[in-house]
Amino acid sequence: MEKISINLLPVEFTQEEVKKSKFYKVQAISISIILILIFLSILTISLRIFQSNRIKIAQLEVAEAENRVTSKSLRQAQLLLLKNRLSAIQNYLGVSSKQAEMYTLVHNLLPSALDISSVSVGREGGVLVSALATDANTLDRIFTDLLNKEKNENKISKVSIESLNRGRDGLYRVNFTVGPKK
Amino acid sequence: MKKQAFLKFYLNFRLYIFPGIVALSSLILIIFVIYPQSNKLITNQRVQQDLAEKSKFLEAKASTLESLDDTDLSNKLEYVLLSYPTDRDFGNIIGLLQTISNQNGFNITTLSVSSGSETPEVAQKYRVRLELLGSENLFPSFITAIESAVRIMKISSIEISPSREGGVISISLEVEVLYAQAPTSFGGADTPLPQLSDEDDKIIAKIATFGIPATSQPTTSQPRGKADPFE
Repeated sequence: MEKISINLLPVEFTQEEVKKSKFYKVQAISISIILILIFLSILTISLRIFQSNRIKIAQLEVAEAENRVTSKSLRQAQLLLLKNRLSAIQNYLGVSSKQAEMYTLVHNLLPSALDISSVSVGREGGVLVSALATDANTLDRIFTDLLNKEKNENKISKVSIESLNRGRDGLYRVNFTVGPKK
Repeated sequence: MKKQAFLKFYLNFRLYIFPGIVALSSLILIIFVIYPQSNKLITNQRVQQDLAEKSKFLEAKASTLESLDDTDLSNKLEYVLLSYPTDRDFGNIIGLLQTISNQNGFNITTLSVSSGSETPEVAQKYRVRLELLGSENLFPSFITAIESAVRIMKISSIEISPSREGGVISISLEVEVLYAQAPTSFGGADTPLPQLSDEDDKIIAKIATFGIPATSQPTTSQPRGKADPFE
């Protein structure tokens, strides 16, 4: 014979128990969440306090190192001035001026047969030569050498004859300008 | 009565009221505590890193500065300032040009000095004009000697003409003598230190081999006479 079960409890009681059970679940979850958040808050505040202490220590170390550096400020100034000067000297030491270079170049290219009256080198490096030559071949050789790129080391841009005449004595009087390459 | 009504209200709706209060509390905790503290943690982490780097840089700089020898540094600076001083050095230049002229067989007949450029941004210079007499063959080596001297000088113009004496030429030479004012500021603790390269050491060695010119050495005079003039 099958058992017959009859629930004598009222329906409202069952519903009340279901509601209670739901509430307890929600309550447990809510309390867990709030506890986790409280824990996180305490953790972040603790980390901030710890970090602030470490930053204070680091600032003290920086201040101490700065004091050590500041106490040697004279040496720093000397070193900076030394380097400043050396950087500038490097650009000038052993480097010839254009004027000296042009004079030396023209002096080396002019033949010994040429009787030089005067030479002047201007601030732009142009060389003006006044000379006497005994024959036209010498003059020709001068200008050929001056304009030869191998001989003039590619430093001469132009040669201009300012004046050329031949006197009764047969000598050629010439004034010419040698222009430097820029 | 009021209390009982409130309690009854809570018991009826506690399924919504309780989680609502918890949610509000959570929001308050997140907005006013967790979020700002976390932001500050991240920002301070960067600050801490910057401080650590700065401390490392300053420690290294302090160690380098403390390891430098004062005497060695002063000597190097003295040599370098002889070559490229901070101000016009008329006395030194006149002595140097006379020495170079004599060494290369030239006689200075006239020497004049004029002020040059005053632009502080570029190399400053003053001009020295020399009237000389000497042999034409020796002139190229003479101008080389001037331009390769330890004191920074450059030839700016040359005029050569034969003099009345045979074999001797008359020269008018203009020399630009360079100098530069010292910087007004040498930086602070944060300024990185420059390193001297091998090239820099070679330049200092080259300047040092010429030594300090006699014109710039301090002259000391010995006292003369009796120690006590009333004896």
